[in-house]
Amino acid sequence: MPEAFLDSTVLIDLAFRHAMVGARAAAALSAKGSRITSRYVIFEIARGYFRNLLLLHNKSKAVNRFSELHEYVHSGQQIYRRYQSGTMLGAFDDYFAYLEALDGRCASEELLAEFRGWLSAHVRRGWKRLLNTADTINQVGCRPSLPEPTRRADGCYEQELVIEDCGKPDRCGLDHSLVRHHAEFEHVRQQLSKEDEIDNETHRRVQALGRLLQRASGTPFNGQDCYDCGDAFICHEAPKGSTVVSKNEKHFAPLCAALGKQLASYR
Amino acid sequence: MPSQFDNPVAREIELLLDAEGRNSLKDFLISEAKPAAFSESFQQNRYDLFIVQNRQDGAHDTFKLNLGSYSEEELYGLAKSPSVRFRREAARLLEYAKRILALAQAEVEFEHQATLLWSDIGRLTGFLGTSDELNEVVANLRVARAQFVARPTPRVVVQALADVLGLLQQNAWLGTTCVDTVLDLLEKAGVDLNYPLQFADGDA
Repeated sequence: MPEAFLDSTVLIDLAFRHAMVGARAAAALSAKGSRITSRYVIFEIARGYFRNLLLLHNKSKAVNRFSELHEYVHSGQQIYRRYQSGTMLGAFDDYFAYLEALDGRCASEELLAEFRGWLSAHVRRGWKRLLNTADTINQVGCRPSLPEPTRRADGCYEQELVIEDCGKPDRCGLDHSLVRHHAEFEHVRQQLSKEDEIDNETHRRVQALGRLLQRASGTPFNGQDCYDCGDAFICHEAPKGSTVVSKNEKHFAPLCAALGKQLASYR
Repeated sequence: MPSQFDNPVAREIELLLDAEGRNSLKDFLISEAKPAAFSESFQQNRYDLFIVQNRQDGAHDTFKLNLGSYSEEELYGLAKSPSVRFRREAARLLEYAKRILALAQAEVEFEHQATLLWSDIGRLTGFLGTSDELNEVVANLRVARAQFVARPTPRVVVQALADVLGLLQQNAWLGTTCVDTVLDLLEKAGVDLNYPLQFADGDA
């Protein structure tokens, strides 16, 4: 039976974006068979995308006004990817302006409470949807258990990801995976190196893959190297005969070509 | 010491109360009496105190103590709290939704009344900041409201609103499970709870 292997961009569209985006993703998947993804993809979303949502929610509990949340996001002091939260707050600016024209003006404290209320449910329900959107495989051996976010007594969310376990061979399955599939990953590294125009992301991937493959099995490695190679590992995890589905055609096309995988993309 | 009849304010009140027809004092008293009357008609469980006798032979006997009878709201310590006001508002909107559901979808009156219901839902902002759970409910009801400004409200959505309002007015304690049930009902009816994000993509 044909299968569609969903990468993080597609899973995010299906679990966290609005209905029109979800419908576009669903349409791209409609003829590809059953949906599967991997624990590695979910962990990548947890530490990349979802972590930002948790931080934004918890920060919304710490400030008193919606405008203060804006100040925080645009202050340049924060360490997470600015554009994601900025886009969400920008969307709510326009959304609140739309509601204001209908129902009258709200105080900035009320806007903050409303945003916080929406985001709190979005986080909780989005995580559940993320886990239920596709069947999950774990060829890499990444995180046998991944706790769901829990709400503390103060209303803040927390989720123990134990990122410091990344790169420890006794806690992480990537080491075994690299040994088993050494030749395939080396082939990927060589193919990516031959690309005419190598962007920063591909350059980091080639370098990180080289470091991971050169080290002796059983020795620790830098978790960031795993993160930089993410798309390569995801593409490799896709079962034979499945179609890799990603919005990131630019980076997945050479990976799928190197690994002999079929790719489907959409905008 | 002036008697009651020498007090001009008391005399004025008596005159207003005795006067035929409505006046500002009567309007005020009617508006104050309405919530109280509504509260009386609000069906809720009552709780009495009992004492249980545990006999040596293992048998039990129960005696009611005539120390008082408590409503759910009193027990939760929520009397006159925003949560109770929200339940009353939910009950009022539920009756509204039921009246709309009695109309045929094709009638103009259906859409007219649905528009008024949405408008009332849009003004639930007074409950924002009350609790995390109420924030979630109000925020997502307003998300639903925003989606049916520029298009007719399907009957299935009014039915979902009625179901949601029914749940909200029944539950003195609004926990996460109840909130998720409410949001599930809205989503099943076709409401996109991530609708505000469309404003980032220019799709709204």
